[in-house]
Amino acid sequence: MTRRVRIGDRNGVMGAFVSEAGYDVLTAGPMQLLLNISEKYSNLLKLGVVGGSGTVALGYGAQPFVLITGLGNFNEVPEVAWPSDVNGPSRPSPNWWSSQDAYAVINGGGTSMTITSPIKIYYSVYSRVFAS
Amino acid sequence: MATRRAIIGRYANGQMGLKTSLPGFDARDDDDNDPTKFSFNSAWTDIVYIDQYGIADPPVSPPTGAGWTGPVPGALGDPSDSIWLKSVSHGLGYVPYVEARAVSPGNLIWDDYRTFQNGGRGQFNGEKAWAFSSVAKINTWAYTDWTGSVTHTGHRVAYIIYRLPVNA
Repeated sequence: MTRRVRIGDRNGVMGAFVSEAGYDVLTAGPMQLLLNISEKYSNLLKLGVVGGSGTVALGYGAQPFVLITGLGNFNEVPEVAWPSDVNGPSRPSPNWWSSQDAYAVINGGGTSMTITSPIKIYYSVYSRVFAS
Repeated sequence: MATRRAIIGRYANGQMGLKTSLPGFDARDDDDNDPTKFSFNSAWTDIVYIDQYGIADPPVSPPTGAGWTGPVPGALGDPSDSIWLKSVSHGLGYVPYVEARAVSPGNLIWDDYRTFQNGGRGQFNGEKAWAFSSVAKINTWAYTDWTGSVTHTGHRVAYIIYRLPVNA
């Protein structure tokens, strides 16, 4: 019989887990979990920063939801008197004065993600399938 | 005795809940407010839950021609039923935090802002979503020209609605 609920140890990770019908909760991939409460930021699989363009390994069996947000490059607008310690995610992103777009391409159905950006990018990867 | 890693039920202090500790820490005795010692504590109040994920598609037959036939950028409080705005009910009873990004067919997700296709600057790709107390409006409209004289185009938008109230 397929195990659907686990409270406690799931492959070395402690939490509360519920799998989709047809999937064993101990062997299901992150995309087949209806509930994955294992850390402070539930439903968030991966969070990180890429310094401009780069490829991030994901290793998932399905294409996940991904959001990217650029880190403002305020040095490109010296005419504005920015605070000396200005830093952090900017909106719109990339900044409107940037000459390039920023985007993420999910490769191999969730194997990896290639980010193209003129500035540093924060990315967040979620445990939901992004249907094409 | 082996370190206890998970507890569910009534704690010694009378509180009820579920706690799971990280390796090397005891779920009953260690500081459960410390995220470096615990992977989960049902008493945490700052867990970010997702209410909905989704994809909004532009209208099948978008209007063409000059003039503004889409929602006006900057109209943050615009609840209009523009053909470009896709309503998503959430029923949370408050205005939630919503993230949205334009997507190209297949597997490409854009950040907020894009350059014009004609080589100009600043296609307004922002404001992909407006949130209200019972519904979110997902904006599938995009400019392609400052003059507004070209065919208005739409794009698919991926959105996430968080169970996170946004205070006015």
